[in-house]
Amino acid sequence: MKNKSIYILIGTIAIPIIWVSVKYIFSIEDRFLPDPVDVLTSVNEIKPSILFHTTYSVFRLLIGLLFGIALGIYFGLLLYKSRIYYYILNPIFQSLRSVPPFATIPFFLLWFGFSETGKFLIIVTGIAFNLAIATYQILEDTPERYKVFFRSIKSSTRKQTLKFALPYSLSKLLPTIRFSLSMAVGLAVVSEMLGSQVGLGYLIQTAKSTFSLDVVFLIAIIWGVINYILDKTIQFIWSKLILWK
Amino acid sequence: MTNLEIKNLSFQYNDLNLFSDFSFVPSDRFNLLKGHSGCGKTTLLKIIFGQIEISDDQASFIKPDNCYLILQDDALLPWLTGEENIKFISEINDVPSFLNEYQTYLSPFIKKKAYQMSFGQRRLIELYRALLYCPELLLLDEPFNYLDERSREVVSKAISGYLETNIDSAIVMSSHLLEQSEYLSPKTYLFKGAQPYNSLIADEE
Repeated sequence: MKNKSIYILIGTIAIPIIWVSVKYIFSIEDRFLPDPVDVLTSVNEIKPSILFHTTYSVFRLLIGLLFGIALGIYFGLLLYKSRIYYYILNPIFQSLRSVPPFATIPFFLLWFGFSETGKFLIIVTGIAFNLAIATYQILEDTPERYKVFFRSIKSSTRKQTLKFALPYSLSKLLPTIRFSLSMAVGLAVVSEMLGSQVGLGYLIQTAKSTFSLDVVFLIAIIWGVINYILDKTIQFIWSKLILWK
Repeated sequence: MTNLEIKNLSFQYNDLNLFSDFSFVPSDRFNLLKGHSGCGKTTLLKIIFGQIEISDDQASFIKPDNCYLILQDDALLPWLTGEENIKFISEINDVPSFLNEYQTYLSPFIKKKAYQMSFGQRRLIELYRALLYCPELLLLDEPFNYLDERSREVVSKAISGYLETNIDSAIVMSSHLLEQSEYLSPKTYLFKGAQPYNSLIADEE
């Protein structure tokens, strides 16, 4: 498409432009909408440096996300592999995933304190059960031609799970995984807000209590950028992994 | 002679009464189903295969244990090559002689990934591995779709070799494209009249 990059540029700068325009045209006070310049310079006020906090947060996010995705797909394959697993695990997964993950955070604090384990687990449990159900649903909806084929050759469920179910479900899971990413970002922030001494969520928490609106804005922007980069990365990995679409 | 026997089949599909007191007891080993589109050829193949389950009170039903059905959409795994797709079902290295020509015919594209192949190439691989698997009853739904004339000839020869070599095997297929084949002469059955059908009429030409 012609002018593609122009349209992307417009979309990218739209919100900053609105922010700046609204701020200066209507001369809104700093306590309602922070000054863009203040937001950018607030980087210097943060000790230890913003990079330190960002690294911590991204690390927690990535570990939680990777384990959550792996566990979710594994559980999904288990549900598909055997009816016994399905009957036992399905009610458990269904009930666990219906609990809003953000509501479980106090329990994780209670059980794991301020430890890193608790923060990883919040993310892992927040996304794994949903992914398990999504994986299972994809496999349940296997096209008839494959079902007929496996039945024709009387293939073992084990072989079918490894050689078919895993690659097939991966090829259909991209939307769920992208959704899991934004879920994981939200969980990482909240877990750090509630029980942490370091990380971007912790910074938001302290900035909030001192009414440093510029720092809150800065961190919101940083999270946005992280989410965007990771989302693009996931899409890139998928396009390399799933060539057959 | 086949061990396929369907008697007194009653079957409804979405309120459409497709078969009523229907019987199909093929006497030949190679059978072709004919009839206009939507008359129930695919449904009958799925019933024979067992993909559509029939309870005992819907029909009395005898069929071989080892059935293999190929539908119109191919079931190759797109992320595997043609060769890997064939190996998915068997590790047989010694190809029976009736498949020799067929094997050579596949060689130009057998190492390509299935998603890079044309419909016709995928169909050729799919039929090849089914013949290699040697089922007792091979059920084919429009197997010649997407195939050009030369490919149809290769497949036809292989099918005829398959029937000659495996004397206990049988084939039931539906096809619109079998008129001119010099290699195949199946017994033709027609869905005649209107639904619900109660039998297939052997067409002795």
